[in-house]
Amino acid sequence: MSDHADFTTFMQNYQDMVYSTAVRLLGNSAQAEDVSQDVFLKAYERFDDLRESPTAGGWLKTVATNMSLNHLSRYRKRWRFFSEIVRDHEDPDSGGEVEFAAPDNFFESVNASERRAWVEEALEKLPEHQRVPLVLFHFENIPYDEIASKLGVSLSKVKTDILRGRQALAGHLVRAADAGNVEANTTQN
Amino acid sequence: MSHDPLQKFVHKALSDLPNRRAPRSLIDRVNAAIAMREALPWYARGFTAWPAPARILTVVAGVAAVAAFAWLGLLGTEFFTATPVSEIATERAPMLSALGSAFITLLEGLKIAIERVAQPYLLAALIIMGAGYAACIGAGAGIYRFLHSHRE
Repeated sequence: MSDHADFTTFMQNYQDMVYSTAVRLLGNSAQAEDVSQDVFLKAYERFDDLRESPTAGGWLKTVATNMSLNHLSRYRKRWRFFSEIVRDHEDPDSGGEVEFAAPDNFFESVNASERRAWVEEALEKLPEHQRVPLVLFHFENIPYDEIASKLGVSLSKVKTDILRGRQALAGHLVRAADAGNVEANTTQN
Repeated sequence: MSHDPLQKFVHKALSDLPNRRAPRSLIDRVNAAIAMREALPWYARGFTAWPAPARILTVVAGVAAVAAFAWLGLLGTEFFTATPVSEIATERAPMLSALGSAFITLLEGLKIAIERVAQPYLLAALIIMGAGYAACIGAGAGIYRFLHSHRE
């Protein structure tokens, strides 16, 4: 098989993982596709090392994470001065307490695809300063102090943002469940 | 992982999520970008993609250029400060000598201008201009933020 065909197979194997990493951090599918493209172009330059490497997946995930964070920090620097001063006031989910008992059977009556859609949608609705540390902590299993150093913020801010992110995510899920119940009742009646 | 039920719930909800499907266009886009890169001549690609001899030659040429500039700089200093050399230069290369004189005159003019700027009234004018500029930027940003926060 030619190098080119090999690389296409390599991309087919890893494209979903790379794209998922980028889209969950960036919260934007077009930007995630751009970042995924850059990740694979970087991988192509090192394909001789990566093609047989058992750690290729880990390498791609790390590069996708770092490139997504770089993308976010470039974007943030560009627009912070003009548009982010009112962030905390604009965000209704940033600190509100959520009535959420987190029962184990929360998703019991929901099928897998609906559940997936709810969680993905709830994640996308989170503001960047909550979504990014939450994704790094729960998807990438990166500890708090490493997240703080990656994002260039204090440890306490990371902990607060993750805590508020969880509450906001739970809030979105509760609202999605309520809306689902209302819809189901309307259909039954 | 902690025993906080919310943390446990969120962790399970997130870690159970399967990967999202990448857009169909991704592989085609990457292949097109690779083809475009490979169509470029070697010297138009990134330095790391250059052939090894070309990279070595470039580094050697770069070092040589820096050394040559440093040597010329030293020579130039000597040319305009040491009287005998300047005289020889004026005789043999009047054009270069004239250029050197013009450069020195320019430097002296710049020095006088800096001394003038150090005058209190000029400093005050500069401070007022800077403050006005900062005020314009601040007002623009404030108005933008105000409008932005009331837009949504």
